[in-house]
Amino acid sequence: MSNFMLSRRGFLKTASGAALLLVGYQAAKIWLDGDDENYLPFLEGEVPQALSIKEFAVLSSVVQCIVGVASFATVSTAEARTAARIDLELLHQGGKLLQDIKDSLLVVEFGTYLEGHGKRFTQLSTEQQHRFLLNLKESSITLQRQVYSGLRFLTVFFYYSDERTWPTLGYQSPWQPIKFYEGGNRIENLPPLSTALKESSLIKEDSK
Amino acid sequence: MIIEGNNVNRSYDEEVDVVIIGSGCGGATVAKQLAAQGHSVLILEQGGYFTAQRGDLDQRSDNMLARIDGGRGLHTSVNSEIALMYGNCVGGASVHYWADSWRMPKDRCDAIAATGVTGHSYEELLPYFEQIEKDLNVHFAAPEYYNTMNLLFNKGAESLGWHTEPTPQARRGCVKSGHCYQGCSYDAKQSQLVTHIPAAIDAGARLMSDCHVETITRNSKGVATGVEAVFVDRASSRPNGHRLKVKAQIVVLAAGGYSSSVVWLRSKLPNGSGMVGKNFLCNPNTFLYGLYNQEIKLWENIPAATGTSAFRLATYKDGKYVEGGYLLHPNQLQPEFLAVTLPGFGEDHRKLVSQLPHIGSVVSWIDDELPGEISLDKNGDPEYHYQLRGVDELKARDSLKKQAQLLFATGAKEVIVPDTAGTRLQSLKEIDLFDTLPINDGNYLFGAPHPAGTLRMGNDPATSVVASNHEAHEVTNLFVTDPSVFPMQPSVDPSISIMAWSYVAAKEINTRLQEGLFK
Repeated sequence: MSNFMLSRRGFLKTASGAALLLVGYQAAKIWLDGDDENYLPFLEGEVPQALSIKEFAVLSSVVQCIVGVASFATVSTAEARTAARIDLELLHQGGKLLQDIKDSLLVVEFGTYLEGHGKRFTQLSTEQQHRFLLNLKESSITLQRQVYSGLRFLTVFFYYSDERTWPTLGYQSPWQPIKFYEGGNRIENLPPLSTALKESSLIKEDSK
Repeated sequence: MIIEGNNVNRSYDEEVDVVIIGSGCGGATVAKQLAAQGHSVLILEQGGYFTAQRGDLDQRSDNMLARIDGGRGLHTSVNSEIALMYGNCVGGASVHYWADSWRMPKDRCDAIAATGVTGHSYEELLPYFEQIEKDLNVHFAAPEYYNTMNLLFNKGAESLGWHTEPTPQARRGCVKSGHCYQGCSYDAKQSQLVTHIPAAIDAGARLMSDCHVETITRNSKGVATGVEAVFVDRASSRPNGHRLKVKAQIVVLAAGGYSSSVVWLRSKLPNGSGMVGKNFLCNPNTFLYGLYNQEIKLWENIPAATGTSAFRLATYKDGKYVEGGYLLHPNQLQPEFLAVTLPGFGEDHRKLVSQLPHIGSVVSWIDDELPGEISLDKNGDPEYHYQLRGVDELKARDSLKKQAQLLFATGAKEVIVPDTAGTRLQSLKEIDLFDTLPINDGNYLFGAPHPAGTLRMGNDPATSVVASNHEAHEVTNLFVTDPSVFPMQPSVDPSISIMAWSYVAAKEINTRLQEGLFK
């Protein structure tokens, strides 16, 4: 069976490696060796639990791009803490799914160089990010579509399982009262926003 | 008695007649039967114990995936082609099933008998079907339970000349909440959680939840002697430091189609045929969305009060596939899953989900024949290999065509394909695109709700894993009673078939125990 099928993980690993080679030593050095400070502004006070600061920052940008700009009637991805909920779920999952998402975020952050942007995903404008994800979605390369689909699935599920989004779906609500679950992944399961990180983010924003 | 392993504060040593791994349709049924016959029975369930009475089944998709679904509802095959849909809770997958309750059709029983399997003919299963249907209150839904999509389905099928039939439902006092897949908050859906498990407990069986079986133990002659397990913290799924050892005359493996072969492989049980984990089938499902002017509200009432088996059996001409090989039903998804499965992102996706109440859907379960494989990776974690191909791909493409026909016939102004590209059809004239639409390699995520086949039953130990009496060819006193033993898919929702086959297994085990061959 395995002879005629690609392993998603194997594929992601191979492609991640190729991407790293292609974008060069400097980009890989940024990702692997530090420079968290550049990514702190994206955290908006969240404290990553499963992902690194850099991975979480990329995820936050991806989530925002996938959901799109919130209209006045909807909740933003930051308010819905969508990236943090995904991060918490990845903490529960561990193993292959966590590694797949880490690999996917790496592909997103540096795959932009392969398209000639000369910048990382998190450094692109909203329009450029949208175009990049669109290219992933429409890519003839299975890996790129899988990266898009995996990140999209988690984003949309966790954003639209926030009850504040339901009015935009024309959905009233479940019939039963909610019951807290210790193993859950809802906002009430998340740690509080970090004041320190939030302040750090603001400082970084101010200094831009 | 139910002991929630999540709360245990000591390790256990147990000695029983029968230890059963898994509490779904297979394990619960065997437990009920054997406990009623006076045997000491211990059921071990890896997942947690969640009940309507305690308010656990709170209808939130995020909470409920985390509580009751295997892989917390997010696992896929290695190539991302199928979403693994299975239970991880007391009651197993029946807690999230739709309650569709078909008997295994006689033609499929005959086909299985033709492979050499004995004791599972339609006539032999008939009394079990009847008993199960009585116990689970299987009936046809009254008209008030037909939601808008169900009514449209019948109208569309009629206009196309396809016969429809009511789908047998295992429900009692349904309140039409529509939250079947999140676990019934009203104990109306007759899952194992509210039927065979309580019956087994009433008859004296005990159940330990949050209990992860590490290995099936054997003696020096290779005979199964029990299990070793660890209790896990429910929230984190990590071992809580307490262990369980069970000595048993009979070990029943009923961890489900996704997990029993994994337990087998991890236990390093013999695999002389090389068939353990092979023959992996899963009824991949195809579905399409229709955008209507009228309100549908797909999430209301019961999922599939009706359907058609007009295409259940594939037809061939001169050896070439013509059509069919799937069931066709109205579909139901809760809003969050509708949002996830509607294609696109950004503003395009927002526009689409803003029309959610006007989205309808139909779904097919493909009667797959070309198997995948379940194996372990280097860390001992399961890997699921599956790729839709060959005649199964033809069935999937044909099912998509029939779905589009039905949606347009019922007034859909647009048909939306839940593929990565977000393909849309404006009219039936475009239907031939399904002949070539990319649906492999991550372009389309198939739901895979009915895993089967990886511990295949058969008379030849060289080509199968268990014998017709459900006992492993190579491990005396180990019986398998879940869909892992099916040599082929039942071609309908498998729950009643799993239970009926488990009646056969329980009878065989009871005979063995009464003969006292173990003493």
